[in-house]
Amino acid sequence: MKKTILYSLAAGSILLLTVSCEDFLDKQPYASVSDDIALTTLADCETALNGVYSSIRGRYLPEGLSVYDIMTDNVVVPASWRNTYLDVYRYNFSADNGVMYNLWFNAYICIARANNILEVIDSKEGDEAAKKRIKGACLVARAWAHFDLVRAFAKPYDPVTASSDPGVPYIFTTTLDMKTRNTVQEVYDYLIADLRTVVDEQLLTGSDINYLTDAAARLLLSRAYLYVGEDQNVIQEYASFQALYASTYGVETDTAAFRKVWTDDTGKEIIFRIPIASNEFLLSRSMRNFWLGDDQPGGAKPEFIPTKNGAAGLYDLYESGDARVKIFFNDMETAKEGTQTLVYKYMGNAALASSFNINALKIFRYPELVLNYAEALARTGNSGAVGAVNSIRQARLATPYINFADKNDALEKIYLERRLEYCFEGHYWHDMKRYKKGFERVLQPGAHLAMAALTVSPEDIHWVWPIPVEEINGNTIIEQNPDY
Amino acid sequence: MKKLTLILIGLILAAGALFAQTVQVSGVVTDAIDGQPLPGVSVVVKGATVSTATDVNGRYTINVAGDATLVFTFVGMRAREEAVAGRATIDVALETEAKKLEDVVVVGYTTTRKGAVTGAISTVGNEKIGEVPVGNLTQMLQGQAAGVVAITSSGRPGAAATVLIRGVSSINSGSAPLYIIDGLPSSSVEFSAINTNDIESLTILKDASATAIYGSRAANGVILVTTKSGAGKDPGINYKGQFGVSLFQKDNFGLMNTQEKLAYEIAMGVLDLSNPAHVAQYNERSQYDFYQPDEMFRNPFMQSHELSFNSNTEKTKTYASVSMYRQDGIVERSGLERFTGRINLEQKVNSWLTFTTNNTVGYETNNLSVTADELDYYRNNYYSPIWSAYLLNPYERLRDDDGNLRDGASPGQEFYRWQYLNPLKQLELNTDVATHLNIRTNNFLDFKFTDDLTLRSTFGTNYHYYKRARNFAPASAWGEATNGTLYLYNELLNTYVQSNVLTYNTTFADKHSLKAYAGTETTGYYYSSENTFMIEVSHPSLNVPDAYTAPEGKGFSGSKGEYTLASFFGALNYNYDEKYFADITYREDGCSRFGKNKRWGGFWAAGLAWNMKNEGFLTNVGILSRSKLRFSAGTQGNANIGNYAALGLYGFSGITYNGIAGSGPSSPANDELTWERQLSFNVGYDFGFLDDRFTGTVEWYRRNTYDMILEVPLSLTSGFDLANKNIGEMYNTGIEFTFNAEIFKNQDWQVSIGGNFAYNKNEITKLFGDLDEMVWGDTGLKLQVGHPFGEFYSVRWAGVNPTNGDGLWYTAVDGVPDGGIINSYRESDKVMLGKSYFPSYTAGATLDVTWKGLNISALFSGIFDKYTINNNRYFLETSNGAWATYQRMTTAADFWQKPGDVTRLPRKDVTGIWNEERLIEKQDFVRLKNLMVSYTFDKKWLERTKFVKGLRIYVQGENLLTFTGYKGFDPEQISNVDLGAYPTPRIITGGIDITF
Repeated sequence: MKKTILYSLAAGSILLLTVSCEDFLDKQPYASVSDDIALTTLADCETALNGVYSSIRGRYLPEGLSVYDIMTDNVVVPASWRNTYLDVYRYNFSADNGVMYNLWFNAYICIARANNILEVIDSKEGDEAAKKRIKGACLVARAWAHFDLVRAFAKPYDPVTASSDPGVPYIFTTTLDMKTRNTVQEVYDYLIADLRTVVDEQLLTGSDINYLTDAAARLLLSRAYLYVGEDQNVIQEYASFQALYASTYGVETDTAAFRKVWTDDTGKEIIFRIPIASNEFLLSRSMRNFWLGDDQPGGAKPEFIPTKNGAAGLYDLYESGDARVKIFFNDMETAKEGTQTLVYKYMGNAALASSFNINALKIFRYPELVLNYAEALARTGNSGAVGAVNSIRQARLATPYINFADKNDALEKIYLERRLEYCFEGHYWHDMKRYKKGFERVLQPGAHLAMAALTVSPEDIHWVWPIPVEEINGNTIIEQNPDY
Repeated sequence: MKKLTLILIGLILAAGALFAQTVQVSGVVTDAIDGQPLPGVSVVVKGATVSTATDVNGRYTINVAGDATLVFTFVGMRAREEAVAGRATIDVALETEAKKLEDVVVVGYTTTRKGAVTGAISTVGNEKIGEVPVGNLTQMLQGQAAGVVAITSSGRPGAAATVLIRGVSSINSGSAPLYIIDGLPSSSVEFSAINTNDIESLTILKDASATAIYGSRAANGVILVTTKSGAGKDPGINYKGQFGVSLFQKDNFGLMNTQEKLAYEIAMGVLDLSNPAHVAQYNERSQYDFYQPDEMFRNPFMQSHELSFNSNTEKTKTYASVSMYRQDGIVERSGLERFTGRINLEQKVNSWLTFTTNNTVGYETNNLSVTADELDYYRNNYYSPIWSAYLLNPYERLRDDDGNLRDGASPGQEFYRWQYLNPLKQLELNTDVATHLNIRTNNFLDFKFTDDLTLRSTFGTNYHYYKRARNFAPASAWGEATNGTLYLYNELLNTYVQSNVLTYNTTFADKHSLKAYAGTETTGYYYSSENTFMIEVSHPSLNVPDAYTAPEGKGFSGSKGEYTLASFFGALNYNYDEKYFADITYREDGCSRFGKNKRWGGFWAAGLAWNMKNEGFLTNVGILSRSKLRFSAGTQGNANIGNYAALGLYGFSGITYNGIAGSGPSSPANDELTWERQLSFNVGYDFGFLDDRFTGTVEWYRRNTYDMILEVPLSLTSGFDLANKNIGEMYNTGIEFTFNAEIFKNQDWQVSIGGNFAYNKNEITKLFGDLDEMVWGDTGLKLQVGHPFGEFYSVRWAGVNPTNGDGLWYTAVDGVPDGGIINSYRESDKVMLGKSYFPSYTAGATLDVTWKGLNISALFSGIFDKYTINNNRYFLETSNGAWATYQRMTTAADFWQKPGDVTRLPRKDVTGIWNEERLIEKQDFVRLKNLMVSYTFDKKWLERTKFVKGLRIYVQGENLLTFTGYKGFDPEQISNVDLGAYPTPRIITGGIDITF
């Protein structure tokens, strides 16, 4: 009897094990889905598209926009500076700096998510218009991400050397392989081709500014054409845009309405913005806290203050009646340096939970289209440039220009207008790089005695960002930028 | 003459015949210690098959040949041989066996005599475990066994220790050993609700042979814990009670007093005596001088009570206990209170089936109250009570003249707002309470088919419920911005195991003894959690979710996960004449965590031992009482990675846009991901002199980890940054030495000492692909081939320039010093420092003196060649002028002020960096971990009371003395950074142990 029990127990347990073994060891997670079933239906692709947008937000918040102004003479550091972004401000960074890593990785995450959808979208069953919209948005997102990468990590576009200058890897399909860098020319060619597909095939037909639209694609195209020096195409794009959207977008001539662009995140100037929903407050660090640091009583604690030294600081370049002065800046009581003029562009949207001081981020604004147009006109010697610039100046209550003396004068004044209009929106550094300018920061009242001043020459290697060390560690065939 | 010879011959013959005749011998066998009769003693005729046993009165009767020899044996007692020599009555007093060799230890799924073990094991006696007042079992392992490092990085009551056995053998796959309690794999979290008095034995398995049978998860060693049963004990009731106090141990920072601080503020230019407002401040502040840690910390009481019951009949053995343990922490509003109950029952159902069930329930409440702690993120926040004790200036008053807490520490202070409020008062406003409920059952069915063939079937499961509620009141600094915040965490952890082990014992050809066993085991582990976060409380006195109102301020999250293991294993233990031992083990495991193609792994081990003492040439060497040489080799595995690490996944958490859910790839697939493995070798020699009065062990080992799972960097262009791959290699090698010496022993006195010492060397031999080195994020560490894991990588400090007060650092190119010096800190000047945060040397020493019933025992423990980044000193010293308005170490006053000054710190505007070499400090220490003075009342004296069977009283102290040069809170820490660690207190208790 005992032996029977023994044998049956042994047999039973072995049988039990072999039958259920493989199932017993096959465990699927509860909070994620396996990648072979994640994009099965069209609805799955919509969810994945939100993932693409989410990664765009990740690229820009909180410092994705601001860091480009920290690297210019738009700001100096105050006496109470606690060394935030030390290496970036001092042009002393190397390949292990987190800012470069954040841009590189967030951009490629966006590209990977977009590519995953693009690979399967055509085969999904469902509404054709939705499929086109998803495809369009992914192509724009992909092109845009590569654009942000190439203009930071590569030399500025130079028609003579672009086909040999190293750019960034342009990714069309997701793989785990190591990649080499495409040339600057190739990157721009591909991204312009992606944007052209969206525009020419009319993939995007919506007008919700929380999402990418045809207008946004066209604005990016206008910017891309400008960077590669295809001025005729810039002019052409402007004309097409006017034909399609003159009644939807424009420059706000009413100052009160212009202020609302910043306080309420609304207005016809906004072509694309990143919304912040209530369940995203904790994910989004407040831009107001970044620039003003006044979330606690006792005075503002800004880490960076606008340059204002009575001569060549950013603040000094506005005319005193310019509407932008009172909207972009504000004199406030700081904790350690008395009253200072501080960046007020991101003062917080009262409708979005006052305790968090959050704004939706206005990424694409209409005036850039006009300024791109003006610059293209100036480069081609067209006299329409002054009128284009004046349309902005008049709206902003600044004295319009009578005339430009010559092409150089035109370009300098357009360059200045871009700086005045787009300060703290991540444009100025790229313009300085395109124009091959250096800059100088000088001491001003309230600035940090030892660390504020700095002179940066246009030959400084830091105009071309180093590829992050994390990429070099995982990719032995990619070429790092020189001198890093 | 002839007649005499005949008579003589006749007598001799008669005598011989007398001797050769069968004689009836009887007698009583007693315990030599107390004279009590011993039932169940085996009485055997040597060389014959005749045997009997003593009855309940210790009496035996046996018929033997007159020239026979009787052998008396009983477990735990030294065997005695008595030549009959014609005697009719032979009384024997048996002595307790020198415990060390014949202890029965649990190794693998069976028990073995320690003498037969071929592997490296250490046991920690249960008398040591039961009485040391610790909130978490892992806290008391330090110093007890060679090669075992058990350091709590926090003095918070109940904090688990980091336990490392023979160095750290994995970078990513966890270094904690496998804990098995009553056969059920457990994690150190579950220890927090276990009554330490319920533990019968704790065995630490260190090498391949000992751990082989747990092979698949034993790469870091195994700690086996068995709980008490009623067996082997006299029935009775036992009460253990303890009362004591925890005392704050002064730190080593050397903080400033008021005079020094005010002088420093003047020198720094922060206090300007030409300004009348400052002069008024100066005068007011000069009145007060506090050593703030004394003001912030307290010396609370602790108590513990346990009532246990055991009973023992032929069929049923029971052990039951209830206990209460309460220990408050030295930080305000931190403490732990625990209740446990246990019932262990062993029932002999019939002659071939025994059923055992061990069940326990434990409930523990932890008051955490926002401390700088491993459970908290607010380490260096000003209101963390530990941190503020060191940041508050000596002139800041926490209490007014009546002893009540003031609202602000220093009203009128116009510097940082943060210095205004009283941290202790803030603590009162906020709560943070964690509760654990642990329910555990282990059940065994033992089938005895024949005397040689047995089967043990096990089923065990553990449910651990964890809840934590943190509430920041709107009136407190942390709750102000959100008008009240509530965080709730709920977690359930469940582990279960089912195993079946068939054991066969046999002896053949007289001297060959063989034990074989084979079995199966399935284990599973499941967790689920839900968390809630909300803000805007409607009334400050409420703290439940219903009271929080902001719709957009509510956050919810939660998840589940699980993993499973299935195994088949078998082993053979063979010995020849107790002289030559050989063990061989094999185990095949499959784990759900690994890639589809590579789930299963096979692990083997072999051990050989030679008991040289039993060899003819040594048997008669009296001095050498023990001599055993051991050798083992084997492979072990490690599966301590994420539950779904091999899968390619899309995740949703944190991915939303415009409030709507989004998805994105979260990890790349690796179907080839498999077990991390270790090949290890161990050579050991056990020796004893003078009848085992001096015993010791020397071991050498080497553990090679390969297929180490590392997160290998990918090209970021793929959208992923890291992927798990089996790719790295590392080794640990070292020696261990343990000894015990009974220096002096007589009727009344016994003096013994013991010690253990271990040296471990660790080195990474392969990283990934062509990469030989990798900076480990922002930790101050770097992984590099040819260097140990845990080595610091930092810029070296070159001193201060006396001419201009610049801070100077040594330069380097590509990690190699190039002999230059520069006056600014650059990341590119980092070099490997040859210092690691894992210790190379560990040692323990014990001293035990007994005089009649009085016993004094001491345990010292020491750790050497270990470093850490003393981040505290960044804030208190090297940050220089940047933090001049907070408290400083006295050494901070030595900063450069004018040309020609030769100082420790540079000009006041030169701020240090949190992880530079100046702050990487040696954390070596020697500590008197435990000192106990106890008195055990004589049993004979107690007999007179008729009901008290045993009584012992004692006084003990934990962490009484520490010798260290480390300038920090506490050198007993194992982390790369020390910042605001909860200091380890001294604990002094007195207790009583009484048995009825």
